[in-house]
Amino acid sequence: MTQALAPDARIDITAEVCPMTYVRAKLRLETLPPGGVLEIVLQGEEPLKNLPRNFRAEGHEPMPPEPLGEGRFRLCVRKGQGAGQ
Amino acid sequence: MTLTDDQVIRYSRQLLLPGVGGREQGALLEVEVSLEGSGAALADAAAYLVAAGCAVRPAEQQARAPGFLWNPAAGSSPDAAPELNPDAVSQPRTTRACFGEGRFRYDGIGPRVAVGGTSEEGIVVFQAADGCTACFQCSAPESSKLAGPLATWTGTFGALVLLRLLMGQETGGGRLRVSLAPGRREPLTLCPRCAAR
Repeated sequence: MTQALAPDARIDITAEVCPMTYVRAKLRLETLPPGGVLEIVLQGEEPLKNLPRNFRAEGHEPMPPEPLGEGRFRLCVRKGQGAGQ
Repeated sequence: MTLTDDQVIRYSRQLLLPGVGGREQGALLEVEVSLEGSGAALADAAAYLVAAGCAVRPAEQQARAPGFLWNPAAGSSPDAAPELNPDAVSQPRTTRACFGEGRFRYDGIGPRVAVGGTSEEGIVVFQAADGCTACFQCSAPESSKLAGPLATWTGTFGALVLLRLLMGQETGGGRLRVSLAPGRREPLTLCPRCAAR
């Protein structure tokens, strides 16, 4: 499903650790218009678990993550229509 | 305003919070808070406001050069170095706000918070920038006998309310009672002067 998404922006947070993983991705998503899609490349279980939950809590729409190998994942998030961030 | 990399790291804990993003943090970095009145809660409030990125200036220091900061972490000396947060003095400010304790004269500019109370209960009164100055003045605590943990709690709570006002997360006005139990918000009622209009 996510393969069909054409991201409007991309960020690689594989070098970041908590809490900067979410902070970096959140600030990047903030620059997109509502409905815009951010592609996030992340690494490890912590951001894989926390990012979708946090984005959902703020009114955004995270897609199912796709494994990229070597512990890395691709996560696409659509910015919520009414989300302030 | 765009946050620098240092600022993203410095404010990362509050950037995690729902409703707080680069835009809101940038807004806080544009604020200068005037401290009015006197009391034990002011220092705690000032510490939180400075840590959040606001510049803080006691009323008697208004005439000093821009960029001057009272650093509550270094004591009550107004000449203490701004060690708590370098951002608090690094740029000119475009937004004004007010935080006061006890009875003080408010000039009517910007969002405002007043705290006060007794030794058993703290009061936080707040109003957005476009609220009625007279209602705020009439609703503000007459005096403050806050001390000890209740002063810390009330000052901290008041500072957080002011930050919410500055980030646009709080509108209108209100009054909070603060005790060892969780705060309870009550509507800010019209003062007698405004109600008679």
